[in-house]
Amino acid sequence: MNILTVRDLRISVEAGIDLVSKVDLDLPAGARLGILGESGSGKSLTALAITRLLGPALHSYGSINFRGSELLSVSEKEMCKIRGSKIAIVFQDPLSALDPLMTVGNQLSHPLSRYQGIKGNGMKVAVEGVLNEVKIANPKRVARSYPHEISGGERQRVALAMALACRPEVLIADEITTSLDVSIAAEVLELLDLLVRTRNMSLIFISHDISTLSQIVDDAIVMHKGVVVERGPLRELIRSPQDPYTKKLVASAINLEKSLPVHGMRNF
Amino acid sequence: MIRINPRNSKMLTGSILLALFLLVALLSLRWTPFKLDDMSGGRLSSPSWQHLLGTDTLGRDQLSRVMIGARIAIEVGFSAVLIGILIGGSVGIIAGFARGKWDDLFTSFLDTLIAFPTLLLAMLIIAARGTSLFSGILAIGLGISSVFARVTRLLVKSVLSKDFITAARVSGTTWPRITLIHIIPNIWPTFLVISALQVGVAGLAEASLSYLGLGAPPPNDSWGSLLQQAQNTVYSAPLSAIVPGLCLVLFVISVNLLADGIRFHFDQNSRVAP
Amino acid sequence: MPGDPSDSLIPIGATPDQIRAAKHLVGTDKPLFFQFTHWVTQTASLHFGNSLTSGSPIAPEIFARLQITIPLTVSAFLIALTLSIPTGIIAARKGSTWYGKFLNYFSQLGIAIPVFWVGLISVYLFALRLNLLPAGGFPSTSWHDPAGAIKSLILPVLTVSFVMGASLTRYIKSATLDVLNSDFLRTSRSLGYSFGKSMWSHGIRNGAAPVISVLGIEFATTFVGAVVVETVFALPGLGSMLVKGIQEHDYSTVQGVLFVSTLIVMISGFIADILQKWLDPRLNKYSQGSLV
Repeated sequence: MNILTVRDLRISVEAGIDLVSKVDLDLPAGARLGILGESGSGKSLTALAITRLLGPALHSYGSINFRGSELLSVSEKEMCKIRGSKIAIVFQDPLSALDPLMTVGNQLSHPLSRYQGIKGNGMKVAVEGVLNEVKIANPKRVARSYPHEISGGERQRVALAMALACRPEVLIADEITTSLDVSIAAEVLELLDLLVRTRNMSLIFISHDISTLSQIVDDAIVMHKGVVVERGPLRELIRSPQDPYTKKLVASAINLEKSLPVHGMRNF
Repeated sequence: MIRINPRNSKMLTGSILLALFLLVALLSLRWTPFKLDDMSGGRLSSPSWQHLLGTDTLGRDQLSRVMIGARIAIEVGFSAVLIGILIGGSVGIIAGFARGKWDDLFTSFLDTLIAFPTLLLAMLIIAARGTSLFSGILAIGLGISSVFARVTRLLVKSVLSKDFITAARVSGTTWPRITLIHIIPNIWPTFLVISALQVGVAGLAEASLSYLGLGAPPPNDSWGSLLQQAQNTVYSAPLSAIVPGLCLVLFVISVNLLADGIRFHFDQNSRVAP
Repeated sequence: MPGDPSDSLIPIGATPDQIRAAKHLVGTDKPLFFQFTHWVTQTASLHFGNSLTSGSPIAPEIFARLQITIPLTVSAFLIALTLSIPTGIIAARKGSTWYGKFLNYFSQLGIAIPVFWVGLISVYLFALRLNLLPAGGFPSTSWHDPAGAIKSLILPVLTVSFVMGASLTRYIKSATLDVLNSDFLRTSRSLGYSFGKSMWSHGIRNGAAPVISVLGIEFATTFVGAVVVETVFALPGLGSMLVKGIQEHDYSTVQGVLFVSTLIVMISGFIADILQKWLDPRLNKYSQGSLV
């Protein structure tokens, strides 16, 4: 049973150029789907289209079905009810994604009060609790700080915490580890894995890096220049890629791994 | 060479207008419909075929005076900006390279300076040197220098922080060479845009100074002077108050459009596809 | 003075601890206020002397004329600000509609027009042709005739606020555009908040930050505009005093007026600086929780 079904998604600019076309996507409940592709392949645009957060110059067409609702035709008011509490998204750059003039604790308190009904005195504890959940070392300090005062890894965890505070059913992670150090990225991935599992969320993980995807998703679609070129279980895509672009991606990833004394990819 | 987008209408309109002013200004050097000491037109006459814009209180032809005004506007505008670029630019480049306490010093100094309105600074200088065309140019030029200094400093700093500078240093390039082949090519587009805008600022500043009676004395009557002289007769001869002002506005708009056009031209060349 | 006020407290070559201590001190209001009042009392006790041409003392005349120039400047600035905020926001959000475009062109025009020309035209239109308002001058009894005073100031104030409004509109439009395209607004919406709510919680403060940073300069420019416009409307304010002084080579008068003008400019920059630091924590290097 799909929780999210995308059919024939097309995103175009006013000038008539299609940035994304004929994209199909199936997300069964509780599943983990990866979107693999390089920059400019349209993967982030697809994520933005699903949450209807595309800029004013971009228009989307096709069908995005979430639990029976056609997201491209519901009203903005309805969409606001879906964003956050049903479908949440975490972006690549947490520094620009967070309000620079507001403390972390203050920003976290917004979704906490809206979606979990926490108010007043209980807020401080709740904020610290949430920060603990995303394994932040010093929750009190971080809650008091402004986004530019904490490290990149902490920021991304905070962004994750904010999205999770909405208790969404579907989480879209758009290149959330791309701007992090490898070791920090690995920790964040582990954290994400744990949280998705314990909360029974469905996950769409977007990345240009196969090894990252291999640690977190089971199935994937490969996007190139705005279209889906291949899809299937990630294991199959890596073992026997059919499309030339996929082949290229897999080959370069394998070459990188070969140069390491220890293989990084899980179970393959 | 440089490819200019034909759809860059701002730049086109701006340049055409500006070119028009330039032509009139150059023309006025050689010929005007009437000479300035020719006071035969009769006081404050209305526009006629002889005097297309009428005459002023002394019987001089308004059209000729407006044409001379164009020359003054261009002279002052471009000269002041030149001074601004030379002085402000040099200070800005030095400040951009500054580190440590020199850096802090420059920051405080330039931030203080830019908060100071150009006109006030210009008045200060004219108070000291007396009124003349050169005083005016110098005064406005120095006022504009503060803008250029601050902008140049910020630009230089932002370029210096980029990685390719570190790369150049690592590969042994000397600072003078870096300035020449890395810094200047990266900052000159913005520089050009700012310069265009400041020509308008200079023109307006000069007009204000002249209007207050602090500008260049006759025969270098700028549009501002013309407006000041028109003030007392605005009821009977509104054209004398409208035309010079309109010219000034069009002049400033033309340089502003040109500036926008230049910015657009360089922006679209650096635009990345989504 | 603009710039970190603690700079004057720190000797060159201070250790990081000393610098930190000085800045922490400046973080509270008291030392700032102390510095400020100290400076003001110093200058207030300065005698401006007498005019070289008329022989009469300068300070009281400056004081009298300030009573025209300051209300003129402040009201023009406030009106300009009040009008330009909605204008700038509309120009940014509805830039593609006909009225949005019109607002954009209008503000482009506004910054190209010399303020005294606007004054001249408005005198011609409203005073001479339509006879609605006085063409110039100020009641000789000054503010003891409040109705007359206000009537004399209406046109000058509107003139200056028109030009300043155009300038402020452009800043606000740019700030609004930045906020509209910002990532943090997108994040707020992605959490389920409506566009309006997101703008209210995050947009306003972030949009205000760059605008406040130029408010100091804009106020100073408004002041200069007021000074110029006084000549158009024959207002006995600071402007005419300055111009007369320069023309008559009355250096004492010029010095006095320029000094006061500089003071006003610096104060406005100072206040804008404080406002900015209060709003934007990135400028406060030593706020709580800092790792640096």
